[in-house]
Amino acid sequence: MKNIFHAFMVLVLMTSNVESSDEALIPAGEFVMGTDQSTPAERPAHKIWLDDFYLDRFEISNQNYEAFDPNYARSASSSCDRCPATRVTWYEAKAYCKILNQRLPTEAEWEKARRGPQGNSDTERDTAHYALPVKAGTLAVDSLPANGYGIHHLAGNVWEWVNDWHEELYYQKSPVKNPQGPSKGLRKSVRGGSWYNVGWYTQPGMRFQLAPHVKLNSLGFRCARSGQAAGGD
Amino acid sequence: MASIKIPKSWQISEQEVTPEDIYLRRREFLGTSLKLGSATMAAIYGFSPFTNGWSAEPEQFSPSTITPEIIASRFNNFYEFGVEKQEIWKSSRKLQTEGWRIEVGGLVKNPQTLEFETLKFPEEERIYRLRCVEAWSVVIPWIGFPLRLLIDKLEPLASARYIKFTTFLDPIIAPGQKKRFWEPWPYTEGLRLDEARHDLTFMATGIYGHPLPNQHGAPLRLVIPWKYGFKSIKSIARIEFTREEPETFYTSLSPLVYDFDANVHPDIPYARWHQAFERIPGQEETVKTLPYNGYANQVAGLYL
Repeated sequence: MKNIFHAFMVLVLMTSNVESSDEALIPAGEFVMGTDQSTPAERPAHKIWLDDFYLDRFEISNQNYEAFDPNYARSASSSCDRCPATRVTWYEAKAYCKILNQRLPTEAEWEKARRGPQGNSDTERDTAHYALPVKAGTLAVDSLPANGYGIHHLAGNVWEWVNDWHEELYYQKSPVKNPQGPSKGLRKSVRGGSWYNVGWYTQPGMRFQLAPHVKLNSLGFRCARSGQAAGGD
Repeated sequence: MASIKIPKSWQISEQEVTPEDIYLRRREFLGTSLKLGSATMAAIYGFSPFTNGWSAEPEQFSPSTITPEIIASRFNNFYEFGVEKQEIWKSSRKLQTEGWRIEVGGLVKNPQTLEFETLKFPEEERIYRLRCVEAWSVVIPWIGFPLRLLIDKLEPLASARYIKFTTFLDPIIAPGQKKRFWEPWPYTEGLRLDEARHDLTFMATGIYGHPLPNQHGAPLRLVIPWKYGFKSIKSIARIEFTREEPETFYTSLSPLVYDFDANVHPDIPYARWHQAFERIPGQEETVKTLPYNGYANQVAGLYL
């Protein structure tokens, strides 16, 4: 029965105009992760090698998520069909990605995608929905121009869950190739800032943490998939 | 210039409320401070539920007891630096206030950046009660100047109806701004312009006879004695004049729980607390809360 339900949900998601099938390929290579201009959690700036991977070009929308969870309730601040799904726990986000044979991005993958091919260290006003009143709410997931990898709204709109457990000083010991985060922890990392956070919070290297069972009106997610080097997911 | 001291309706003699050591230290601060101009213009204000005909029973509220500085300085809300009231005096030490600047913008004749050290207004001392929404209160001798003096200097446009205040943003030294990342930092507050111009609305630069320490909102903070304490924003870094009611930190987080006015009222539960009584830090007793925190005679007319 469980397998039948799973197959049914995959079919629904694959045929419901979901953006999650629309992925950008991030090529293998090195990038500089972290920043020396922030708190100890972001320090030091350090070089990381990542194999190629795919990342959803868009945040998961309400329409996407309702196909997965019919009982899902949209938040008032993110209510349109193509606005990002919010008030989703890390566990629910993980389960959603899994049903599409995807996974949540690692923290390193998210940051590499966020920085773009040029390794940006700031937030470009024209690609990010941020620093606005709380009552402004979210934008549809494809509203603003994409970054250099063709990915939308990594900065601003909604915070995004990533897969890694959060450890404050992880960068002081993290592996230089395909870091996966600590093996255990109490909180997961979240990234990117939301529509009402000012620019500091949306900068590429900034790390934040939240217990995985928490839901926020300003927190959503997108999914990722390993590329050829890793043999896919 | 000669100074004329005009008694206010909420004024009582400073000797009636001010311990001698504080009185003497206040004179030192007023006499030597350069950043706020002539100390000879200082007027000394206080308040009294007895002289103003307030309804409180005298034995329930003793205005002659200023909260001891050791208590007022070790029991603070300043969520930028954490949620433990007893720790803020230590955790806020990292805030650097030298060279403090205040941006001025919005509906104002000359948008500009003010250097705090160059602000020059006649100083006063005012002894106000501060009523926290968490149902506790303190009695504090502030030093500063009426906000309306600054507003007049800034010359808001005729279309301006509100004033918005924003505190600093520096999550590197203020861990609360990072840990509670989902909140709309930096902290903001606002007033109607008629509230802001009211004689009781005060910009504090000092406390207990000396400049504000960081935990009290150095170098410049608002003090609005008839509103819950969270309206009295600390460490002001930006002032903006607006036509529409500005979104503030708490009204944006919980619009059904916090309203823009936030006037103290004992009959209306506010936020998570009943508001009929208040605790006095360092004492076991509680006292009745008064409408407008005891300043109804002065401010109730704003809300008719």
